[in-house]
Amino acid sequence: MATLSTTRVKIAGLAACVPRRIEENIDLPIFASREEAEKTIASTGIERRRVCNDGVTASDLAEKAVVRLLADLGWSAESVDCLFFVSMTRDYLAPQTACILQGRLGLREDCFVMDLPLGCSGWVYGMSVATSMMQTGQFRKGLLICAETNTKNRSPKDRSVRPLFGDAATVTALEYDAAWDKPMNFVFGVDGKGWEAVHMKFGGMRHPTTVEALQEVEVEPGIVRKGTDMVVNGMDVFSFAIRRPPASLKELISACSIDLESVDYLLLHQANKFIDEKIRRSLKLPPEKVPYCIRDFGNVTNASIGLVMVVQLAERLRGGMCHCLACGFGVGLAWASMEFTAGHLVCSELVEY
Amino acid sequence: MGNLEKYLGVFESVFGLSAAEAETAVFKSTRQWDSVGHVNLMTNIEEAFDISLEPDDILDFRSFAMGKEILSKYGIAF
Repeated sequence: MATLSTTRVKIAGLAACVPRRIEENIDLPIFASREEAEKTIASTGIERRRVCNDGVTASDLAEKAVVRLLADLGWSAESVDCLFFVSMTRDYLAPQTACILQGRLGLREDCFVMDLPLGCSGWVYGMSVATSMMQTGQFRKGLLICAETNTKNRSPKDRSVRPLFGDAATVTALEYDAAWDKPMNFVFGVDGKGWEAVHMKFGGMRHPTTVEALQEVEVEPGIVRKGTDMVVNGMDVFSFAIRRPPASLKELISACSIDLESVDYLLLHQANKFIDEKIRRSLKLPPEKVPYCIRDFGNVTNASIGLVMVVQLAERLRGGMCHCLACGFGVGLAWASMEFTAGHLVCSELVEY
Repeated sequence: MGNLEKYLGVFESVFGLSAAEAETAVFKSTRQWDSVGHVNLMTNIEEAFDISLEPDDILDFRSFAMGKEILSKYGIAF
C-alpha cells in the first residue's frame, strides 16, 4: 500500500469560480422524453450544471478564484512561493498552464509552478504533492488550483456524459506553519490496465488529430461523438467507482487508525449520487456527514471536492476545526484518499464568471 | 402487490416496457438500458424492494432473468 504523511502545512483558504451560465438537465434535447430526463436526474442527483461560454477556459475560471482568494486572505501575489494547476483541460498542450497563470497573476519569477494533468482524483493527489513540497518550510505559501471545463471536451450529443459533467475551478491556499501539528495522511491507488474506461483517443502523440477524428460518429443510439471527445465507458467506470473508493477509504482508516466517530465530514468526489451513496453506506456514515453539491453543479471532476467545501461547508470551515476524510477517483484509473483537519479558514463566497 | 408485479413495475417505469418485453430485457440490447439506464434501474430496484445491492450484484444485473436470481439472495422470492 502506498501511503504518505505530510506535516506542518495547513489549509489557509478556499475559493471557487463557476460559469454564470446554467444548463438544466430537464431541458436537454438528448433525452428521448421528459420522463427519461426526470429518471436520470433522480438517479444521478444532478439537476443542473454550470457551463462555460465559448472561449472561456479552465485557467480563466481559476484566475478569478485566485484573485478573489488572495484578496480575502490578504496575501499579495508576490508572497506566493508555489502554484500547482491540476487540470485535464489546460489552455495549450505546451506550455503548461501554470506558467501562463504565473504571468497573469503576477506571481514572482522564482515561484515554483507545475501542471498536474489529473482528473477526479486531482485534489487529493494535488494536496499530496503540494504539501510534500511545502513541509520543509522552504515554500511558505502555496496555491493548489483544480480547474476543469469538462463541457469542452465531451460531446453535447452524448447522453451518457452531457447530463453529468459541469465546469468549475477551485483554489486551495496552503501555508507552512511550524506549529501546525495535524498531519495530512494519504493512500493512493492506480489501475493503468483500465485506462480505456475514460480517455480521449485523439489529440495526443499516440493518435494525433486527423480529419477523420473530427467527424461525428453515432457510436450507439443517443451517443454521438468525435474522436477528440472524451469517452466515458459508463459500466467500466461504474464498476471501478463502486469498488475502489470504499476499499481505499477503508485502507486509510486502517493504516492511520482513524476513529470514524471522530470524523466530521467525508468529502467525496461528486461522481453521481448513486455511486457516492454506495460509498457513504459502505462506511456506515450518516447522511449529514457527507455533503453534496452535485444537484446544482454536476460532476466537476477534480474541482468537486473543493467546490463542495465552498458551497456547503463554508460557515463550518470558517469556524472551528473539522476532521475530514476525502476521496477522489476517476480517469487513470486513479484514486486516492486522505485524512486532514481544517478550520478557521478564509472561505470566499462563490465567484461567478 | 406481489414481488413479480413490483419487479415488472420497475422495468415499466424505468424503460417503459410491457411485461412481455421486460421478461426478455437485456443490458445494452434493450432500448435505454445503457450505463445511465442501469443507474436508473438500480436506484429504482433498491427503492422498490428497500434493499442496498452489493457492488458485484449491481454489475452482474445484466438481464431481467439474472436480476430475479440476484434479488432472491436478498430474500425476495418470485
